[in-house]
Amino acid sequence: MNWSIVTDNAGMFVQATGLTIAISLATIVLSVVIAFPLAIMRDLPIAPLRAAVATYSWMTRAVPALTLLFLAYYGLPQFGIFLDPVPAAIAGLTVSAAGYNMEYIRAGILSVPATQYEACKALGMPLVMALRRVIIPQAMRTILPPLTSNLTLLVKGSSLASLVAVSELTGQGMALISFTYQPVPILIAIAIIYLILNTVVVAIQAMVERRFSIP
Amino acid sequence: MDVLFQQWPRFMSALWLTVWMFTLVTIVSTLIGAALAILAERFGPVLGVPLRIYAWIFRGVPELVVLLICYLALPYLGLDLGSVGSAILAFTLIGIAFQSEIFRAGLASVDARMIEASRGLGMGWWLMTRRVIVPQVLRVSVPSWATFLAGNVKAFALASAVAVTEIMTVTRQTMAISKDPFTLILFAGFLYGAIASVLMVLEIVISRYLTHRYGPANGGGAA
Repeated sequence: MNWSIVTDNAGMFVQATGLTIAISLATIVLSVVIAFPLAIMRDLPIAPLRAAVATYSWMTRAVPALTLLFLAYYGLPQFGIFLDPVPAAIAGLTVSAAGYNMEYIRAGILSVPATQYEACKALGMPLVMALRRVIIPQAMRTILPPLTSNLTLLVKGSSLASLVAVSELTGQGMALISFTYQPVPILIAIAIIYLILNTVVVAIQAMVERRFSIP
Repeated sequence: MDVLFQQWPRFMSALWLTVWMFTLVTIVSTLIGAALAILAERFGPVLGVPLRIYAWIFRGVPELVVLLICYLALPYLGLDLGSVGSAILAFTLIGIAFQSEIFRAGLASVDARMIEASRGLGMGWWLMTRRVIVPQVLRVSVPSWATFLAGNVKAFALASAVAVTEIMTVTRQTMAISKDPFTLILFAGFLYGAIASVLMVLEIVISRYLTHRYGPANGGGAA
């Protein structure tokens, strides 16, 4: 096996890993930010809004992320929306991840006892303030384990971006394979990089969970 | 839409390909994953540690990369399985990793007193596993097993990247001769959604059957 293929192209691997990290981070931040209001809307007493959010959740969880990526990259131009590969990839992955995140966040919010809401109401707190100061901090403990394990899936999911012409780690690796004909060392190197990235995410997950746990 | 009707038979054969690949992978990976989890429980760290490392690798590496390894790298090591063969191998390897973890968690949930009681009754290992442990593990594991499968069937869309003519490949080929890619991609999504929905219904049916046969998962409810 010829490992010099990997060491000679180390710069390219570093650059591609950077893009993978950037796509993952963007997806993680956006999908969590979008999922919070959706999760709250899911249980508001406004029927049409609730139905719309429920449909969104069902659709994004029943359809493969790859299909959503294709919709963003190949489907949207039909409506005059031309996204570059990287934004299209981030859009597709975010829409898919937000559906899952929303369900985890909702489960966490529902796990907070109803008496807490009643107490907030009795104290005259507006809903937003009650959520921010009372409900969400308690819900965080339930939300974090499933949410962060979904985030490791997002790091792996960023590899899908290679199929809509983004040269992140997997895409760059495929390009390298196609002109060096050395798939074995390249793919092993890629696999190891993903393992390292995910191990880091899991370590951060443990750290954050410790911070939110009851002392 | 005309294109969709014209390509209908190809979509249906692609759907069939996805369904049988998925069924085969599910059966093989469930059996091997469950067997490995049970054996790891029996033989301790000798098998348990390698199994955990295996699960860590195949759950940590993206499905697409595992697929590419099976499709592009294995032929260099003298094993050329073709596109469908390497997709089946890749998803089976991934499936075993997830299934062994699912059943490991199920086994851990069996009350240690059950095992002591079985031993006290003089049951052998095989009899105890078959009559006491497996019925309990099944009920505990079915929800996470079905959740994994519903997610896993969507990952089969990735097989399009290694030239398997499954739903996404046919969609991509049809897009090339169509002016309406949006509808086509939505249709592909609908097909996956249909398979995933069938799985969710199946989970309910299996859970009902197990509850009917063995009683509720918490042993009749101490509460």
